[in-house]
Amino acid sequence: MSWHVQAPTIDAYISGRIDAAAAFSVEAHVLACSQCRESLSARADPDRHERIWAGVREGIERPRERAVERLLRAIGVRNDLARLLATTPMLQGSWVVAVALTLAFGVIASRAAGGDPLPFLALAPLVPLAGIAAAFGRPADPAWELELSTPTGGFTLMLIRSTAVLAVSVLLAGIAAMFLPHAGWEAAAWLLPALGLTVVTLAATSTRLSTVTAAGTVSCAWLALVVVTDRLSDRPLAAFGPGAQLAFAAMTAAAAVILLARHTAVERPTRI
Amino acid sequence: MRGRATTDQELIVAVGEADAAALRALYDRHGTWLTIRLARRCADPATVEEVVQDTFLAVWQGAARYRGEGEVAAWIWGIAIRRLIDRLRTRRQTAELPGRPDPEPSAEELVLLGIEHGDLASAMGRLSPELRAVIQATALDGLTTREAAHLLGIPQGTVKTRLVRARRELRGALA
Amino acid sequence: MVQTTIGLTGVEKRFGAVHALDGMSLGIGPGVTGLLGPNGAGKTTMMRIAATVLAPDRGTVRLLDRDPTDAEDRVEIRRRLGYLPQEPGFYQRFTAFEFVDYVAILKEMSDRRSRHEEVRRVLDLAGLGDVASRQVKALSGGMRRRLAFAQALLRDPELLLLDEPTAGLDPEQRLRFRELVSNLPHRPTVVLSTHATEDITALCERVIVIAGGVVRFDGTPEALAATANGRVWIAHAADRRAALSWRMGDGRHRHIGDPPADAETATATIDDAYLLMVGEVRGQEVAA
Repeated sequence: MSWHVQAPTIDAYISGRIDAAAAFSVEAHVLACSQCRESLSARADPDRHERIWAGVREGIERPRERAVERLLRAIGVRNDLARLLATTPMLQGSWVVAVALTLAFGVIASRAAGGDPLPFLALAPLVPLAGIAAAFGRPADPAWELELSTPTGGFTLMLIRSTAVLAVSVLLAGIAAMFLPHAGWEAAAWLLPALGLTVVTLAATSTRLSTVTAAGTVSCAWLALVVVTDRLSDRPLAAFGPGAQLAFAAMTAAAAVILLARHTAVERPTRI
Repeated sequence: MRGRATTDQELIVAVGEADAAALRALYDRHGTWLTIRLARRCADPATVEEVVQDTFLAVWQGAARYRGEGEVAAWIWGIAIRRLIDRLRTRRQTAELPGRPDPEPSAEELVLLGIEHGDLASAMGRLSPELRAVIQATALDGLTTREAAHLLGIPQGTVKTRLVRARRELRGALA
Repeated sequence: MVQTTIGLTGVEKRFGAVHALDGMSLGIGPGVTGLLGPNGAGKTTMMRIAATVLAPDRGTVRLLDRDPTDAEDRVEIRRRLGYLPQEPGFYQRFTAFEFVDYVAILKEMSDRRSRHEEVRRVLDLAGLGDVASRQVKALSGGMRRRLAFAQALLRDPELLLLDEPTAGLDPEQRLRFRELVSNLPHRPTVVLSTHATEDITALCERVIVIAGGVVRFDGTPEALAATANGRVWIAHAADRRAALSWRMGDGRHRHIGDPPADAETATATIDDAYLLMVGEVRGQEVAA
C-alpha cells in the first residue's frame, strides 16, 4: 500500500462529515488495506461490536432445525417436544427414503403376485419395528446411559420416539396402500398388526433384550406367522381376517398393560 | 498461538472447518468498516446491524465456497450489500452469495477511486446527490444497474439515465 | 449429623459369576469424594446405581433422601443429578451445542432462550466455547469427555457423578477441571471415580477404595497414604522380597511390601497405599 488514510480523514469518514469523493476513496481503499481497516476498528463502538457478535454467535450455535421440526412447531408443538420428535432417526431423510422404497417394493410385489396383497401386508407392520430398533436403547442410541439418568430420558423418551415412529410408518404405509390393486378392506388390514407388534416390541424391551433383538425377534415371529397361516389355511389372508384383527387388538391392549406395568424396568433396568 | 499474523484467507479456511474463533477474528477485522459503510447506505441502524450479523452468518456457512479470488474484504462486501438490497426489497433473507468476482472497474472509475482531492473531487461535489448515489452504487459498490435500482428504490431506467448524465457531467468537468 | 446424599446398605450386584458389588454399605455426603479401585472392582456399577440407571439385585439405595424404586422420587432424583458415564456416547452428527441442548431438553428445560443460555454457560465452563458449533465427530477424545462433563453440569446438580472425568485430558485441562470442581457453587455432592491419584490428592476430601466388590478403605487421602507407612522402601536394585517393585526415573527401585530391616524407607503416597491394598486383595482372592 503506497498510502494510508490519515487520521483526520478517518474521523471525518466515521462521523459522516466528509465529502463524497473522499468517502468513495476511503471505502475503496479500505477494501484493500488491512492497516486502515484496523484504524477503523480501533475507533469502533465496543458495545455495538459485541452486540452484533452476540447475534452472530447465537446464529452459528443455534441447533440446526430440520424441516420436520419447523413443521411440528408450526402446528403448535412446543419447541422441546418438537426437537425430541424430530431427532428420532425415523424422521430423517435417509430413513424416510428407505421406508418409502421398502413399501414401494411391497406394493410392486403385490401387483406382481396378481393383485394378492399378502406381500405388502406382511411387510408393512415390519416398518415401525425397524424404526423402533433404530430409535432408542442399545445399540442404536449411543447416549442411552446418559439419557436414562435424566428425568424424561427413560420411559417418556421411549413413548415420544415410538409415537413418532408409528405416526410416520402409518402415514407412509397408508399412502403406499392406496396403490394396491383393488384395495378394499385389505388396504388397512396391516394397521392393527403394525400397532400390536410395535407395542409387543416395546414391552419386550423392558426385559433384558436389546431393542434390536426385541424388534428382530418379533419381526421373525410375525413373518413366520404369516407364512404358516398362509400355508395351512385355505382361506386367503388368514392372518388378516376379522378374527385375526380382533386377536391383534387384544394383543395390543395386553402388551400395553404389560408395558405400563413394567415401566420401572424400562426406567431403571436390572441389566444393562 | 501463531508465529506471524494470520491472513484473512487462512481465517476463511479455518471458518470452513467450523472454527468459531476464526470467525470472531474475521469479525474483529472486518465488522467495523462494514458497519460504517453500510450505515452510509441505509439510514436505519437496526437494519444495518442485522445485515452485518447476517453477513457473518453467511460467511460462516459459505466459507468453503470462497475460492480465494481477490480480497476477502471485497468478498464480504459483496455478500453484505446484496443482503442489504434483499432486505430493502422484501424485508426477508434471500440473497445468494456471489459466485464470481465483481467485474473490473472501468478506467474512468479507477481514476475516480484513486484521488482524494483535486478537480475531480470538486466535480463530484458539484453533482447532485441523486447522481452521486448512482455513481457510488455502480462504480464503488460494484452493483449492476438493477441492483442499484433496488438499493436506491428507483426504477432501473432511472438509474441508467442518471448514470449517463453523471458521467457526462464528470467528463465535462475533466475536459 | 452428617448429611447423606448417597446411602447404600448391603447392595449386591452380580453379573453372571462376577460379584461386582458384594454387600456394599456406605454413605456419601456433600463435598468431593473419590472412588479408587481396579477395573471391574465395582466402581462403575456403583456409579450407575447412584445415577439410577441400574437397579441392584439386593440391598437398599437412598439418594438425595429419596427412594429410587419409587417412580416420583426417581424423577425428582434425576432432576437434581448430573452424570458423566464412563463411556459417554454421542450422536456424531450433532454439534457440541446441539448435544448439550438435547440433554438440557431431557432435563426439562423447555424454554428455548434460557435453555440456550444455560447450554452456553456449561460449554464455556468446560472450555468448549470456541467449538460449540463443531460436530461431535470432529471433536478430539479429550473434547468429547469435556463435552460429557459439560452436560453433567446443567442446572447445577446437587449430586454430580463423574466416572473417569479426566481420562484423555492433558495436564492443563486436568488442572482446569480440578479448578472447576473445587469451585462449584452450593457445595454439591461430587463423586469422582478415577484412576488418577493426582486428582484424588488435589480434589478429594475423602477417598473410598473399592476392590472385589467391597469397601477396603474409607477415609481421607492422607490416611490412605498413611496405611502404607513403613512399608515402602527404596533400593538400587530390585528386591524380590517386595510385594511389588518398579524402577523410578533416577534408576533406583521403589518397593512396597514388608521391608527388610536395613531398608531405606520412603514416605508413602496414595499410589503406594493403593497398590498395596489392591495387591493384598488379589492375594486373598487367589488364596480363597
